[in-house]
Amino acid sequence: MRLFYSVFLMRFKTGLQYRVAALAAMGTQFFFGFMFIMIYRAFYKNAAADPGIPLDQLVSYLWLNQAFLYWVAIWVQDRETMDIIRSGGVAYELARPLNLYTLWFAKFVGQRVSGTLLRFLPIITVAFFLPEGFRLLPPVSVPAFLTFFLSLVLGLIIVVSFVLLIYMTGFYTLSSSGFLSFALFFSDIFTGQYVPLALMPINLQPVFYALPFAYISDFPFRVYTGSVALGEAGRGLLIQLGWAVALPLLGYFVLNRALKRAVIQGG
Amino acid sequence: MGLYLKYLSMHIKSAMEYRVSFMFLFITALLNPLGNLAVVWFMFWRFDNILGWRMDEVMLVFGLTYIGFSLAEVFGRGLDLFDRLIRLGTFDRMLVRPRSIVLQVLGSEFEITRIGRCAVGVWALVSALDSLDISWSTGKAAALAFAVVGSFCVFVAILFLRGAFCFITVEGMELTNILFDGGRETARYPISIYEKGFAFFFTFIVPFACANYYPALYIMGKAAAFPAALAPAVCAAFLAVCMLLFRAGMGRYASTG
Repeated sequence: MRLFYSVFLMRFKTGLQYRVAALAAMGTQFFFGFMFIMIYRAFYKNAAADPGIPLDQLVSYLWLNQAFLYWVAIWVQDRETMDIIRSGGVAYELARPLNLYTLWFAKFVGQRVSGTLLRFLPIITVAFFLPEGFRLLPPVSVPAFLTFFLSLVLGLIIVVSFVLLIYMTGFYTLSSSGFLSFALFFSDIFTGQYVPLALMPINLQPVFYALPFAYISDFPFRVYTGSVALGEAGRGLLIQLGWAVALPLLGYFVLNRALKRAVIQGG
Repeated sequence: MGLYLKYLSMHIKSAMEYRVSFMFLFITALLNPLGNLAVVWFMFWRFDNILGWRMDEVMLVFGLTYIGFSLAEVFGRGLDLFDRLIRLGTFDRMLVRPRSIVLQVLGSEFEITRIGRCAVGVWALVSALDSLDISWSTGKAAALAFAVVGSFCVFVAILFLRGAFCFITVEGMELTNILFDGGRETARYPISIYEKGFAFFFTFIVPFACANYYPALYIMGKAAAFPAALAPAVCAAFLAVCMLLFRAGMGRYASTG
């Protein structure tokens, strides 16, 4: 645990160095936030039936997504780790008296947390004071906020262990970048990054909410906005917890198996 | 022109040497535009119109935007990677050659694998035109042709602007990335759905609306020929301004080493 903490801290401090990059990225996130809100507002203006989530909740959902993008997005990657799997540099990592899975896990968590801490506060603050209709609303209740926070943390475990699983395909195929493109494409649909899941076709919803992807960002944001009521949140939280335990265990197992078979070439 | 064609054939030949890798890049490049097409499709599964625009009408705008974008990506890749040309000093070598700089930069890269993205745009456009039941005229055909060229011009112009920025800052071109990627996502939908200031910006400053919205209105018979006729001139003017800025930037260029 102490080890986990120090790797995390190291990565965290590195992440904080990229302040200019974070500032620039924030501009992009505001732009996309506004653009998406304008598009959804236009769709809602002539909507015949109830589209599945009220507009003010959807607006809050979109700002949360922009603010926590670096926390939840699957495209946040660590090229270095992917490269060492391909190039065989992983041998050096193995020489360390540490468990590789723990090491990588801590590294990825640190990267996401530091990146988010640099970005989220200005976005949240500005979004709170925007004019009516574009504004991020406060959480529906204190228990909802606490549940949101808890599920956001569980979501981080899910997204990091999923990204690690993709990287591990690199042990078998030598190049995980191709697999990564496909995984990114499908997971972006299933996480709700393309379209919030509440607006997706109704008969597909049970599928979405059984898979782990919905619990990375969609579920926490919906709890915050009240789109998922606290009464129903318990069940979601249980499924989320299940994935947050199962995926890291699976990753741990796969990695150890892969390393047993792996042949490091050269001296 | 002959030289540019020579550059192109060279790039195609070298890409064809790696056939499997080529096919793979070709397919993965398709995923992103397909995803964005799926978004529009999903939205219209829930809503039947966006401020009065039906799905096939939106698809007309979407198609024009994506054709222009993908062609700019294929032919303007050299500008897209311009920061690399400067950092590696390749640009300095170009300066000493007795040939047009713009031509050499455009010819330095050619991303043929991205051409498939154009097919997504063409498919959206053709399916829209097919379902829209348009009474064609010479004017409308010309408007369509100019719209495709105009859309391409706006995207390439942004890449020139990006190049101009490279001369000054070498790194960090987030602003032009917003215009290029953000502009593409914005221009998927008709400009009329956005707030006034935003719409003004993308009509008169970065004229995406002139390349897709006004021609589309005219082709669908929703507006007279007048604003659509001005649109190509606006797109051309934007391209000209950005190329001038590129030239101006080049005048101030001091090599990186």
